[in-house]
Amino acid sequence: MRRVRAWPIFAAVLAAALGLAALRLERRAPLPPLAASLAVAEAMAGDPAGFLRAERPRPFAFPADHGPHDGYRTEWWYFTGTLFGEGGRAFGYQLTFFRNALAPGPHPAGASALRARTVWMAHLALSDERGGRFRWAERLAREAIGLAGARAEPFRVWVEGWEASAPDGTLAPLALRARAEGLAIDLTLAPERPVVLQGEAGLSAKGPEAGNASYYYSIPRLATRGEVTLDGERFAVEGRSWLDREWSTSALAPELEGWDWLALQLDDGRDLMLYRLRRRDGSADPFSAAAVIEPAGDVRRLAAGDFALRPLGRWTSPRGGDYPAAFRVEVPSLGLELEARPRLADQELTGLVRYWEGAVRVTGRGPEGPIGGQGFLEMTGYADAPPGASRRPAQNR
Amino acid sequence: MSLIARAGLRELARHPVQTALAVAGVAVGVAVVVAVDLADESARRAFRISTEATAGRATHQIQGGSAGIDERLLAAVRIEMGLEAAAPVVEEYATLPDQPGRVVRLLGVDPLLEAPFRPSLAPAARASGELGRFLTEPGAALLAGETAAELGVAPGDALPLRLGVREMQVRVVGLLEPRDRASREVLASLLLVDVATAQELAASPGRLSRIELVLPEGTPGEAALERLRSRLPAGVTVTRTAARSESLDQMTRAFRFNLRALALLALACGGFLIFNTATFSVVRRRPLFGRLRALGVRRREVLAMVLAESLAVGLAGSLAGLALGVLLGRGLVGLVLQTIQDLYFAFAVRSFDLAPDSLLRGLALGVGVSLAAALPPALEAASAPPRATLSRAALEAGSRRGARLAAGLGGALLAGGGALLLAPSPSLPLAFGGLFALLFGYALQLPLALALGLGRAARLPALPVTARMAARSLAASLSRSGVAVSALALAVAVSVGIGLMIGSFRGAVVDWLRQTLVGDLYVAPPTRLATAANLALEPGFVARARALPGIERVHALRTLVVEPAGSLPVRVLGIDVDEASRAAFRFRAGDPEDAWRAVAAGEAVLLSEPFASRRALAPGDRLGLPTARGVRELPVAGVYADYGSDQGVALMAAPLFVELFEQETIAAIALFAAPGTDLDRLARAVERAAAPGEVLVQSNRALLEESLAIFDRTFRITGVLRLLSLAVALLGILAALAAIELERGRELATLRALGASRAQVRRLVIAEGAWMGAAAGLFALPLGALLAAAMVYVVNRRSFGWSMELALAAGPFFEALALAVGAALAAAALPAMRIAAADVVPRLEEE
Repeated sequence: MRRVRAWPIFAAVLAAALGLAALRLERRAPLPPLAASLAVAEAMAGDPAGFLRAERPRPFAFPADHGPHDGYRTEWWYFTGTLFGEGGRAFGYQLTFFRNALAPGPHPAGASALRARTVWMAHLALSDERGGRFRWAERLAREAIGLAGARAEPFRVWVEGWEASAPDGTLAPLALRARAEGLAIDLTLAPERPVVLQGEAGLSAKGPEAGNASYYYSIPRLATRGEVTLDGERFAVEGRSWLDREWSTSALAPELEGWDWLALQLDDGRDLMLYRLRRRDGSADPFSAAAVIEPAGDVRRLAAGDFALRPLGRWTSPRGGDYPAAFRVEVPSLGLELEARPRLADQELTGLVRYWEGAVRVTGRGPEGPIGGQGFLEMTGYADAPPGASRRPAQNR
Repeated sequence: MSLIARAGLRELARHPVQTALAVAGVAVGVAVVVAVDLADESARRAFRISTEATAGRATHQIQGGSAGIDERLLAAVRIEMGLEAAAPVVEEYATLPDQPGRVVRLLGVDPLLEAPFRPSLAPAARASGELGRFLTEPGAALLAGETAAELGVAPGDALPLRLGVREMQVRVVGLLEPRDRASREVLASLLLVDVATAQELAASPGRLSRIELVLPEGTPGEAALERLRSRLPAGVTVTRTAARSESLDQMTRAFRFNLRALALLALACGGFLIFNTATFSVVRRRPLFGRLRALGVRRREVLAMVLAESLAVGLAGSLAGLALGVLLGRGLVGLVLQTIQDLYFAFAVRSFDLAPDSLLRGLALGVGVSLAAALPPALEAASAPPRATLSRAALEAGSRRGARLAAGLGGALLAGGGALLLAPSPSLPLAFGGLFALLFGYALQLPLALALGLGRAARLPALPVTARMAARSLAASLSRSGVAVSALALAVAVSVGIGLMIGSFRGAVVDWLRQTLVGDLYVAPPTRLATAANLALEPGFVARARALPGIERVHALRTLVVEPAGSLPVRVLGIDVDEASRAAFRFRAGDPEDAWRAVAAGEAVLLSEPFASRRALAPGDRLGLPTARGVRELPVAGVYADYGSDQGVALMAAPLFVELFEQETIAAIALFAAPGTDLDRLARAVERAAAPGEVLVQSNRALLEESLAIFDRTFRITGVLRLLSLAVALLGILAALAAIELERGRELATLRALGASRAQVRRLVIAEGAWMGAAAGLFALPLGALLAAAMVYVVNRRSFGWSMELALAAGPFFEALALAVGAALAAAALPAMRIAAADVVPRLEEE
């Protein structure tokens, strides 16, 4: 369900980036309050005219749909996973590529090769449960002169030196490579499950109006092995990833404050995707949804009333803002009662937009007894960037 | 306050005109010094902001040769070389068709890559409207609200621009709101656009002005730099960001030193005025001092009293001068910036900085000069014997003794100054030291010369009685007139000297241009400023131009700037060597025949004179240049005259240039038309051979005129300073005549009582003014010539490396004479009328 995220993120990216450009000119500038939220609100009123909308279910075709969908305003490739090194040392990783079209249609004639109507943002994050370390980095680039882009066959999506690529369109195997100051990943992924269409045959509605929806598919399990590097230390790792793909032209409804999203890979072979759209009054929006994926790939959709996602405790970010410390997941129809607890409390990314995205450990019970697993949790809308927030990437401790 | 001090202050209050003139003299002098100081500091700051601050935290930059760098290098640097903190910049300067003379900077950046360059993250600019427009819309621009208001545009409006000869417009999509003063200054006159927009506006697709980098300090940074250098294509270099402003500072040092020295002259004239006032008041009060001493007042107290008066005058004048200087400085900073822009091709934001240092310096100088000027008369007052009420005659006799003493001292100063100027040293301060010594030494000769000269004039039977009376009377009151004449002579001499120097300079430049501009038509890309750093003609155009009918020969000019390690940037020219180009050069050193042979063979370089003098190179020496294949040492075959740049150039034959720098681009071409060709028609044909607006075709006449216009603009500030010194000197004449009025009231009243008419008395006073003016003017002429020679042969050569011949044109001399006499007459008019209008009886009753 991550679709709601991208638009505000990009709006903020642009707002902040323009600010940066001006600020670069400024010496010894005092740190003023970040006006990101204001800029987000402003930019969200952006005109979707000229872009395609996700209005009705469509046939999905691969490998073409692994590639970009340029007619839509936003799109992302979202890799997350839990990897284990020697002695079961757990590492969570995230590598995400966001595409955002700023204007519909092709370039005007005679445009400079640097002229871009599409900008990209990428996030790389790595957590080390035993070492208590979390590092992240951010890259922004325009789609021009090969700085960033995506294509279906052979598959490749990249932002500068960070990339996900495959020798052909099948994503088997898939290579993830990214390096920043203090962290790096070099992983090979192989799908263990077929593509799963989320929502109604891949159309995931986010509100009552037509077009306020996205096309959304996932590959909930990809066998993963390779190497991660943290502060110059290399670890050979092996584990499992989750890929989320989504594209749309829509905006976050004004009454929504944020969302909580979970992707859980259970030991019994089932996978769960759940999200709760959070209203400003704290209640869950009726368009919250979930899906249970059987090992064979069969999907059972759950509506807002079919499951519960309850925050447990409170974690206060050292950079300001209160997040839930963990979540309790209840799916009565399946007899599932689970808890998703972060492997590290602080897995907050404070780039141009602040959000919490990190590895969780799953414990609980099902109808046949105790059940465990791995997963990833995403929490947004809990903290706007406070005054004086350090926004330097790759330095989050 | 002691009784003595109060007596002193009362003295000042009793002669308000004298006091006011002295205060005004100090005020103007201090104002000029402070104004120049402020303007200079502001200009330096402006250039610093424009170079360093716009680079933000950038530590280094990747630069290309003449045509910038290929944009694909950005991807290589960021992805393959893995440098995260690397951002593209396309920088251009545009003029506004609606506001002649206003230059704005067009800064093209990639907002997505800016993060490492800002000191902190904050949207100082909260762009209104749709943010995506900035990136996607051709011509979308942001500018500071203040600048928008000045230019009369609001978000949504189009702003017409001119880059070279091309006209275009940008659209304001939002406003930048600076948060503090530093950012406001940086944002002033800045159009922030996307890097793609900048490329499109500049019509330079695929090119970047530079790539800015933030490299870590110490060993990791050095290693990264080494890696980077080894992978950059030929002709592309990495330099420290700070080097840019450092070298500008170094380049402009001589210019700025000259400016300050001229400003000091104005203050020196102010000092003369104080000296005059103090001397006058001391001379007139000698009886009082005598009585005071008889009453038991000590010498020290008399000394303190006179100095306290001067201090009060100096303080009041300095304070007024500060205020005046701030106002004046605001005006001057524009002139200073313009000159530096013209001379050094640097762009600066417009800024005025009220540096407390400058104000303090001005205050200290004003007060210091006042005290120093009052010291001799104060010592004189303190030396008055207790009972003395010296007769006027004895007093003036003393004054003559003083004049002789001054002449002796002046002679020593003259000799010392001459020695300093002739000393073989490259030091500029030493040259100015010599210049000032010469000035004052000469000025000290004047009282004696004046006495002798006027004495002789008074005996000339051919002169009308009034004139002779005036001459005799002036000679008799040397204590008042001598110093005033000296001050005026000094100011006029400086004016003559500067006039002659500029005239000689201009003549040399005209000669040089005539010899250098041998082609009929000159074709270059439209320039951005007076001269742009990066120029390139499209190769297809050059071929088409060569093929045009009526063209006999084409000379191509290639140029780039290379940066040898640990030295200032060097501009290198590559030219076609043939008979016509040889004729365009005048050698200062080296044998032309041999030199051209070596240059044509690609075995040596020629250096322009400023280059050779700055780096102390002569024929036979070797010059190391970083080339596409490492550093190459080339022998210097000759040195030629060139007034085009005070940094100078190294010149080589085109084949060697192409071989060394692996760069084929041609910056400009000179066309030689076949005899009988219609040049206007040819110019239009050349223009048609290029894309519209891509080239600027100029006849050699137009180029000459443009060059001279820039030359004249460069010296505008010198002209302003010259006028200000003169203003101070005029105050001196006014003060001297007012003093005479005050003191000789009785004498003139007696004349009236004896039957002289008001008109006759008026004529007498005016004649005295005329004598003073004429004397000052005449004395100023040789000094002016001397100064001009010192500036032409010593100061200019040491400052800029330009050598030239002194041209003694008659114009400045006549101007100076007319100026001096006219000014003195104007200054005499008021006292003359007042004296003539005064009642006779009260004056006589005073005694």
